[in-house]
Amino acid sequence: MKKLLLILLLYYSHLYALDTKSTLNIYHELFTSLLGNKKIIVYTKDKELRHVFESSNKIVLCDSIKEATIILISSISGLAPIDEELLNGALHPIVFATDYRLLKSSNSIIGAFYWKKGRSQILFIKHRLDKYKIHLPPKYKAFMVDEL
Amino acid sequence: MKALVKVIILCILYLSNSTVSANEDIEKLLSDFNQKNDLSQKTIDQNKGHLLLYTRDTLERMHAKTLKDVLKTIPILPYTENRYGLTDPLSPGGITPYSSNLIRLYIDDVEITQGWMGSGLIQYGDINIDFVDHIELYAIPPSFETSIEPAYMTIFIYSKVPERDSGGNLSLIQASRGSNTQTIGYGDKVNGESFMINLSHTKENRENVPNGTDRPLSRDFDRTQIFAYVKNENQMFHLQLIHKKSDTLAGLSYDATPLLSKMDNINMHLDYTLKFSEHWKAQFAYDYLKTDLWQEDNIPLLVAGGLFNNTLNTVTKNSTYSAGLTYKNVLGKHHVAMGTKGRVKSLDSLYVQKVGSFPSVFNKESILSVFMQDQYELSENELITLGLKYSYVTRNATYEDDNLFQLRLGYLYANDTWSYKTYLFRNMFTIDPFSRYFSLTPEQEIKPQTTVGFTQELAYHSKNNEIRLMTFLLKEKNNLLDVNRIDDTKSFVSVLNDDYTLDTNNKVTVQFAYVHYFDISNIGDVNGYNAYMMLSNAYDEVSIYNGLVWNYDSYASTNHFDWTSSISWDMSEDLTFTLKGENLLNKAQTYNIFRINPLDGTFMTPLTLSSFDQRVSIEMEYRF
Repeated sequence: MKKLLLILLLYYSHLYALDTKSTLNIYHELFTSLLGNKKIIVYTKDKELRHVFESSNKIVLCDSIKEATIILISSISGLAPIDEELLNGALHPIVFATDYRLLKSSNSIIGAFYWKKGRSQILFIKHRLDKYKIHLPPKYKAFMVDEL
Repeated sequence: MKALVKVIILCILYLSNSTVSANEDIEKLLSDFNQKNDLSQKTIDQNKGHLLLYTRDTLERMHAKTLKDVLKTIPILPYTENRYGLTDPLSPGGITPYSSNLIRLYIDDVEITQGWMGSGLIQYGDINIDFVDHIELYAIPPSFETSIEPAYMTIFIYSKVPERDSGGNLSLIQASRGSNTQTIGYGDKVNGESFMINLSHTKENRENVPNGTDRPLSRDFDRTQIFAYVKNENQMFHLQLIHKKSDTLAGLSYDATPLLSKMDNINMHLDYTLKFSEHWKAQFAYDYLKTDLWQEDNIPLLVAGGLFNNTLNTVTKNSTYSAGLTYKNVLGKHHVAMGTKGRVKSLDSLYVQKVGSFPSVFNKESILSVFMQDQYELSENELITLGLKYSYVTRNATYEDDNLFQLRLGYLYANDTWSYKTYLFRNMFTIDPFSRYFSLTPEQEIKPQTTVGFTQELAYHSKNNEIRLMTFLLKEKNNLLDVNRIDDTKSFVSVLNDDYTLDTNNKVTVQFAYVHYFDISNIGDVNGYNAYMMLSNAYDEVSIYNGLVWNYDSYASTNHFDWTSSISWDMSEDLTFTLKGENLLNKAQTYNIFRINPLDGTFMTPLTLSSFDQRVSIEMEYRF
C-alpha cells in the first residue's frame, strides 16, 4: 500500500526513473525469446537499466562484455568499442539497443526497444537475426522488418 | 455530411476490432510498460489539485501542434481570445487588455510570466508545443511549494527529455490561407548532461472578421520561438525566446473599425534551478517583455482619458525577477515543505510616440511570500494536507499595498481501484499591475479578490478504464472580473471524465462538464455545458484521430461543435505525413467583442467571432 502513497506524494523523485516491474517484464520476455534456454547475462553501461536489472532473479548483470550473452547499448559512445570487438570476431553475444538511431547506425545490433512519440516500440531486423541464427516466435512477426 | 459521419464510424469500428492478434501478450507488456513509465507518472503531484492530464501519447494521438489545440478541449475555462486576438480565457470581451491573470503557466516547474502585464498565458497560449512531452492542468489553487502568485488554474508543461527523444526532428506544415510552420529540434544526453534546443517559425493567416467596413478585422501573426535547456540531476537552465508580430483584431477602436491595429512582442525567459541537497532547492528566473503597439482609428481611441486621440504608438518594456528557496523533508509521517518566494515586476519604460517617455509614477510591484505545507499520513492509504501562505504585495507611488492570506486544507484517499480527494481553500488574488495602472479610474483602489472554495473528486481506476467525477463550489468576494460588483459571486462546476483504452492502438475519451454561475451581473443565473469526445485508432502505419468539442450555455442558447480530424501515415520509422482538419463543421465556440458607438456612447451590436478557424493542414515530419 506504500506505493499508493508514493503516487500521491512527489518527493524530488528522479524524473526518468524506470518502473522496475514493467521494465523487467518486457526485457525478460525479449531476452528469453532471443536466447532460448541460455542464461541471460547482460552487459550494459546504462545506470538506470543496471539499477532495474539488479532486482531481477532471472537477469544477471556482468561487468565484462566477454562474459555477456546480451549487450545492451544505450548511447553512441558505448557502441564504438563493442563494434570494433565484434568486427575482430572476439565477441559473439547478441547486441540489443534502447535507441532507434543506434539500430540504424550499426549492423551489429539485431533489434531495439525504444521510445517513439511517447510509446515504446520493439523492432528486429530479420537478416541480422538470421546472421545469429535466431528464430523468434511467431508472435514477434509484427515487430520484424527486412531492413531499415 | 451524414454519410461522411457514417463512413468514419464504420472505419473506427473496423479498426477497433481488427487489431486483436496473436501478439496480444507482447502488446499487454508494452501497454503496461507505456502506462507505468510515462513521464507524467514522474511529475504528477496529486496534491497540486484536480488534474487534467495530456500525456505524450495523448498529444501525439490528438496531433496537437499548439497549446491552443490542447486548451480548447478542457472543460473548465476553455481557450478563448480577447479583443486583441490574444489568448485570454477569462476575457468578458470588453476593453480590459488581459483578464486571465488567474490562470498561470509553468514550463518544467518554472513559471513563465509577463510580470507587469500579468500571466504568461497571454503570450504562450497558442505556442508551438513541438518541444513538449506532456501537459498537466490543475484546477483550484496549486500547492504552495510551486506557485509564487495565486491561481485558479495552473498549466504545467513538461519538455521532452533526450532519454525518450534523442536525436533530431524536422516538421514542415502547410495550411489553409497560406499559413505555414517550420520546426526543427535536437536533443541528446552526453556524459550525464541533457540538452535540447527547439526552433520554430509560424506564419498564421487567420480568418478575417467582417466589421461592416471594407477593412475586416485581422489577427494574422508571424512568430519565431526558441526553447532550449541544459540539465543534469541537480541543475537546470532554460532559455525561451518568442518574437511575435500580430494584427490585433479590434484593438483600441471603440466600434471595432480600426484603421491600424498591430502589436510586436519580444519575450525572453531565463531560469536556473539548483538542487543543492536532498532537501533544498533554489530557483531563479528572469522574464523580459518588449511590446510595440500601433493603433489608429478615425475617431479617438479607447484609452484612459482619451489622451492620445486617433493614433497611438507605444513601446513598453518590462522585466520580472523571481526567486524561491524550498525545503522538503520527511519527518516520521509528516511530509513537510516550506520556503520563501519573491518576485519583482518592473515597468522599465513606457515610450509614447509624439509624447516621449510617459510619466509612469507606478512602475514597480513586489511580492514576498512565505509558506508552509504538511502532508500527514493518516494511514497507509490516507493523507491530510494543510498549507498556509502569506504574501506581502508592495507597490510604489500612491498605490496601496496588499496582505494576502491563503489557506489550503485537503484529504486524499487511494486504494487499488478507488481514489477520493477533497479540498477546502481560501485564496486571495490581485489584479495585474498593467490593468491596475490603465484602469479607467486609476485612483480607485482595486481590492484583492477573496475566493473560498470546496472541491471533491472521486475516481475509479481499472486496467483499461479511468472514470472521474469532480465538483467545485466557489464563492468570490471583490471579483476582479466584475470590479463594480458589491455582493459576492458564486459558481458550481462539475466534470465527469472517462478515459477508456481498448488496447495500445485504440482509445476513447469522453468528458462532460456542467457549470452553474449564480447571478452574473445583469443576466441572472447561467448554465454552461461542455463535452469532449476523442476517438483514436491505429492500424499498422496509419493512425486516425477524431475529436469533437461541444459547448452550450443557457444565455446564448446556441450549440457549438468543433470537430477536429486527422489521419497520419508512418511512411517509415523516420518519416510521417499527416492530414488534419480543424473546426470542420465551422460551428466552433464563439465569443463577443463589445462595441461602443462613439457618437452617443451607447452599446452597438457586439461582433461575434470564433477563436477557432476552419483550417486544413498537411504536415511532413522527419526524425534524424
